Amino acid sequence: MAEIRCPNCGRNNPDLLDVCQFCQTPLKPESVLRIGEKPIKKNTGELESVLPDWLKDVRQQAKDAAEEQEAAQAAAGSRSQKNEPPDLLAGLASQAGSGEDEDVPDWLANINPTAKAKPATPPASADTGSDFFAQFNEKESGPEPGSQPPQEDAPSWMDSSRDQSPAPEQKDELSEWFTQASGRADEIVESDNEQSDVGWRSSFDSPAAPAQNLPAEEEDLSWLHNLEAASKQTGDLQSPQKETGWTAEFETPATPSPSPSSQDDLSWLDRLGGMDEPSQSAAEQSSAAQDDPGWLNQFGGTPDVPKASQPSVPQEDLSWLNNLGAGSEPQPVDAAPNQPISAQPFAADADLDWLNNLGGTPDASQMAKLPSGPEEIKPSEEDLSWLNNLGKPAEPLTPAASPEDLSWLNDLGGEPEPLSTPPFAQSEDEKVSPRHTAPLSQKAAEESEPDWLKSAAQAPSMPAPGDLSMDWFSGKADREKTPPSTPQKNPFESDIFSTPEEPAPLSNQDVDSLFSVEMPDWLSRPEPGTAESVSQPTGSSSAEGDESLAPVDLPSWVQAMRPVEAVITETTPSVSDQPAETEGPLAGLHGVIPIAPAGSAKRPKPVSLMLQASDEQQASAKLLEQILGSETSPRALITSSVVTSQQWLRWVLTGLLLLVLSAGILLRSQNMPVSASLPNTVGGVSNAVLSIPANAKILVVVDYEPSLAGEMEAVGGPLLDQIVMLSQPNLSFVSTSPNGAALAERLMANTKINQIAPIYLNLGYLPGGSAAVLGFIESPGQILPSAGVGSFSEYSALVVLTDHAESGRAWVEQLQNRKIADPVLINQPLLMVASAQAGPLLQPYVASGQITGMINGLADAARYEFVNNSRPGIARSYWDTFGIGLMTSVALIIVGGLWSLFTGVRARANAEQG
Amino acid sequence: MRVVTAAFAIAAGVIVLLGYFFPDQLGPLRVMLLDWAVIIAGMAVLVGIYNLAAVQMEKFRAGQKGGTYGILLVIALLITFGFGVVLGPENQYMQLTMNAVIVPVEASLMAILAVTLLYASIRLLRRRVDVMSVVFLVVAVIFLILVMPTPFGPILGDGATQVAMNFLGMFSGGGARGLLIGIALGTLLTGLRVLFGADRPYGGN
Amino acid sequence: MLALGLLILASILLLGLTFWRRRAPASLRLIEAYERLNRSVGLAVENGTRLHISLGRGNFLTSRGGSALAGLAMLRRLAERTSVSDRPPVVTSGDASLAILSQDTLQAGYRAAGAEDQYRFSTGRLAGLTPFSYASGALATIHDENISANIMMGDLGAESALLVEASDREDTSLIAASDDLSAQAVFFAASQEPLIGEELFAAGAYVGAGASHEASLHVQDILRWLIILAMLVGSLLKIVGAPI
Repeated sequence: MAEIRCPNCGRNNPDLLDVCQFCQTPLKPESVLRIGEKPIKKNTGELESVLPDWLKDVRQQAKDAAEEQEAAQAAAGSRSQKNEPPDLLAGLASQAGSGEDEDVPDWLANINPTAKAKPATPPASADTGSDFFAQFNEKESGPEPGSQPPQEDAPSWMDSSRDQSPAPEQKDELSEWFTQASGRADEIVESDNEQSDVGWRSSFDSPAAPAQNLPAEEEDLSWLHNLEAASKQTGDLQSPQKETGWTAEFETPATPSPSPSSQDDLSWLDRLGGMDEPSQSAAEQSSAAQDDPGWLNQFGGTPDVPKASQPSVPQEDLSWLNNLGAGSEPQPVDAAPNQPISAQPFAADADLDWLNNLGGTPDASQMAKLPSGPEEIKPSEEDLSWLNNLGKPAEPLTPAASPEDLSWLNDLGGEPEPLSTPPFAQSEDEKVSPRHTAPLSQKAAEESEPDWLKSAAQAPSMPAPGDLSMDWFSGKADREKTPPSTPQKNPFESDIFSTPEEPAPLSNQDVDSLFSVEMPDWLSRPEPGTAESVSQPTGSSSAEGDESLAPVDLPSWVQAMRPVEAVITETTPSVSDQPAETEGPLAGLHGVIPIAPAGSAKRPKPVSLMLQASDEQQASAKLLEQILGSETSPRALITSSVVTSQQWLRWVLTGLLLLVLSAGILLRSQNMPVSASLPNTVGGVSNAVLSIPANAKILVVVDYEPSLAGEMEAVGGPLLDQIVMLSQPNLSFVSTSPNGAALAERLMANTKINQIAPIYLNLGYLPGGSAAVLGFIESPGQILPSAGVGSFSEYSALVVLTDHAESGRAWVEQLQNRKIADPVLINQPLLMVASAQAGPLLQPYVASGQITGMINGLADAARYEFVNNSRPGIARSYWDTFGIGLMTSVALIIVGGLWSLFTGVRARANAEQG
Repeated sequence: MRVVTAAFAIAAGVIVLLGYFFPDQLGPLRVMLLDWAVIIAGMAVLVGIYNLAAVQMEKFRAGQKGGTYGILLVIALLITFGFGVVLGPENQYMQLTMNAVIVPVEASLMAILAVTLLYASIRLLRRRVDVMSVVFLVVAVIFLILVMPTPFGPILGDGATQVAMNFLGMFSGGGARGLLIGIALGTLLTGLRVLFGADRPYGGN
Repeated sequence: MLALGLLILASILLLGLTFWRRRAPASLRLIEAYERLNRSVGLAVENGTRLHISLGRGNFLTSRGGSALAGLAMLRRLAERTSVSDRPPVVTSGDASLAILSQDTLQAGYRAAGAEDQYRFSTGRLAGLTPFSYASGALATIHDENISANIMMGDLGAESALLVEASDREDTSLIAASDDLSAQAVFFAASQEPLIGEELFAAGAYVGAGASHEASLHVQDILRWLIILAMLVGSLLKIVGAPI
């Protein structure tokens, strides 16, 4: 929340209040200018406490130099009153001794103690037709007891001003002003910038008010007289054509018209600090800017256009000094601090020429003149244009040339500037002179500047607390630039947080003049590019008047606060487009620091929201989506036919085989011949059977499954029949499978061997597999006591009937192993009867001689049966059917295989195409 | 407990194995262990039969598909077992069971197997078309033709047929022996793993 | 003595390679049947179907016991992997002792997976004492137990053709291997990826049964080369007339 400093007690109050909560003083006096209202004089003495340090330092320096100016003052006292510059600080002096103000500088308080004695003249009377410096001249004529000491402390340039103007009158006014200002300063305890700005300006605006509170102490305002004189010499006070300084705004509201012909050249001082000037004065700004004292406009700039002070101007010019420090009148505290102070014509440009040189780049002549002494100062030619340069914007706000150069004060802290105008941009045409309080006369301005003015002319490192515009940071190049001719707003009336629409750029010269410390180069030196851009719009205005404030380049951070649309650039500037750095460690480099200001609408590159997925990932995602979709969607039941094609094929094959085989069996066909030649393996069996003695014990191993019983009976029948027929042995059946015993019985029955050999021994099941075989071979009586044999060698032969090679191999291997241990077993034949599936696997044993002979399958059995007189005949009966079955199978395999091959290839081809 | 079973199993296996190489020293022990194994195997048959019956009964009780056949199986089992215990395996009725039930059933299954193999042979080229499939079928057909009795006698004659059979047998026999050797090696290493305790199928593995 | 020497050599190689494979697992060649086996196991677990594992009718008292042990080693790993399935696998055997061992192996697998309470004794069955009776019992399991994959590892004969045909009818995947040549012939004609010869004994290595299984494969290869060498040398010696 903004706060308003009470002009009476100096305490801060919320801006919402209309009266001070402490002293009940109206915070917003009626004199606050609104739209349509006429400006009134303000008491500039309220600004005493808010004076920046540099100004305080200046005062101190002035005090020190006051003694030096005494002689000059005395010499300048003979000048005409007209030429004497007004006592600018009379109001301040009047307020020097009032209140508990601790901030009242001594130099200000000591300048014009006689100013306190002066009653508070009505602002109207003081403003209307009163020349600023005339007041000083009038005052100087009068006794000014308090002014003597301050006069001694006043700087030399002030002595020159005194010479030019009617010293007594002006001095009195000036002293009064100073007195008032000092007195008002006591009341102003707040060091808040805003309040201080308000108070300071308000004190300037209402010189009559502070007149009531002028301190009794009379200060020596001789320096100010010198200043006036100098300004008169320079003609600043006389020619109010280009008054664009802030002093133009210090006129009383009674004379709102900022006509250049206005003789109240001190009106700007009246408005100094008066922030309540309505915007209606904007219409008058063009002319009001002209009314600004040139010295302020040229603050920091060269007093290129010294203006001769007009005779009537000094009187008018000093009127503002009367108002300085006037605290009786309610100071207008503008709730809208941005309201500029209407500048009033400041005719006494010539008298204020000294101010024009204040802070600016002093000319060599001026620099040489200033320290030379007060004798060189011509108060009549005081140049106050330097004051115009205070707060000088980068470009003149109004094209109208105004003799008043104090418009810069209006620009302080808030004047809309072109966004393209960098803070430090300075037009080439601008020649910002160092701010220094040049002599009021032009001649004096050319003289050497006082020390304090020199220090003020130096680049300040920091802006004044009341500086609301970064225009103060205008580079040193502003020193050489002409001050803008447009009226400048009071810098102190604008809020520091004001919108950037109203920047009041100051030239570097102004900045330098304001600050007593040397500004760094990077701060004071404007950017070349920005300087050029600023120079363009300001070039015209700068060319209009020499007293116009030099355009000030906005610093980057201020520019960043500008409206976005003014600085948005959609395209990122390339490195080459970006300007090269000119200072600092990055000098000469391009694009190191992006030029995009903060807060710009530089959008980042749009990021595609599309998921970057590869083709494989997308395919997988689609697959997953299909799977998920199929989960919820009902899946159609795949109803298969009752009979499929494959089942049809099986049935057909089964039926065909059944038909063929049944026919063969039922027909008992025996048309297919059987070969009479026996294979070698079969021949060995025949030979072995012939060698079996009669009534020998023969072990028959039945190791086949019931599933192959038919085949085995057909295959084994002829052999057993022959053995029985020839040897009539004692058969012993054993089996390594549980079904062997039963199968043995079946064998004997089906082959009708039991009819031939009714006595046989069925030993049953021999458990243990190969181990049991080995054990039985080693000790059959121990394994099977019912065997009736003591050793295996008692068996004359071993016949193994098996449908799998494992069983036969086991017997072969175990027997072979036993034959090594028992040589008796060497001549024991081993006859193998194997099914067709086991025969090939037992052939090696046959070939190795481990098996004496083997009958392999139905083919061998048929041949053997043929040789055996076709007994029992099972094999022969199966032979024709067997042949037919095989032929059918072969045919089916060939035909079916080819058909399957064709269909398979076609299906794969369709699958590949699909 | 696992260590004990593993130790006993390993010890028994090593003894039986070494018993074949050292019959004089470990022969009797080997025979004893084998006898024990035979007895255990016999009892395992009974346990297996009980398991079979229990599973079928579970299926019947749970109403699963094929439960009716399960109960029939159990009934038949019990009857056969009873007759066998009572009458003996050599009784004619038991022989009738074998002759009328077991053998025909399995023979039928064998006949079905023949049809199945024929069907598989026919579908082989549709299922997989490669060189080995074609060779397999060609060799099978040739063998069948060679052994197939014809009204005209052997197609190639006895001698040629014998030569052809020997020729085919050379390759088939060699391949078969190679397979058997590989199987034997696998069996050997499997047994060694059991002996070393790497595989303990007897629980706790 | 030759057998004893071969036995000792095999033992030494097995032990040494087992320790080596524990540090450096072997890189086995691709066998499509086992790849499909792993996939089938996963699918069965995911879609809530059963696995039918047939161990054949191998008798531990015969040489066919080796194939039975190989089947049991595979069963151990499969049981552990399928323990989380809603429908546990069914193991059918043609031998009583093998059936008992299969039950114990299933229980061990469930115990290792921490799901011992889900073990059911009926999952390890004796299908039949004879080959075809075993086939008959296995056929009933294939048709009635909602089987999604049939795994036949063990001593199976020609009767396995019936099982293969039943698997084909039910449109289930089949992974079959046997030590019997007739069964291998049947599998070659009926299945997509037949396992021939000693590939049956590689089942443990491909299902991750342990380093000893991988070492066994290496030992088999070594011994096979030795046998090949011996056969060639012996043949040459026999040709040259050496008294061997």
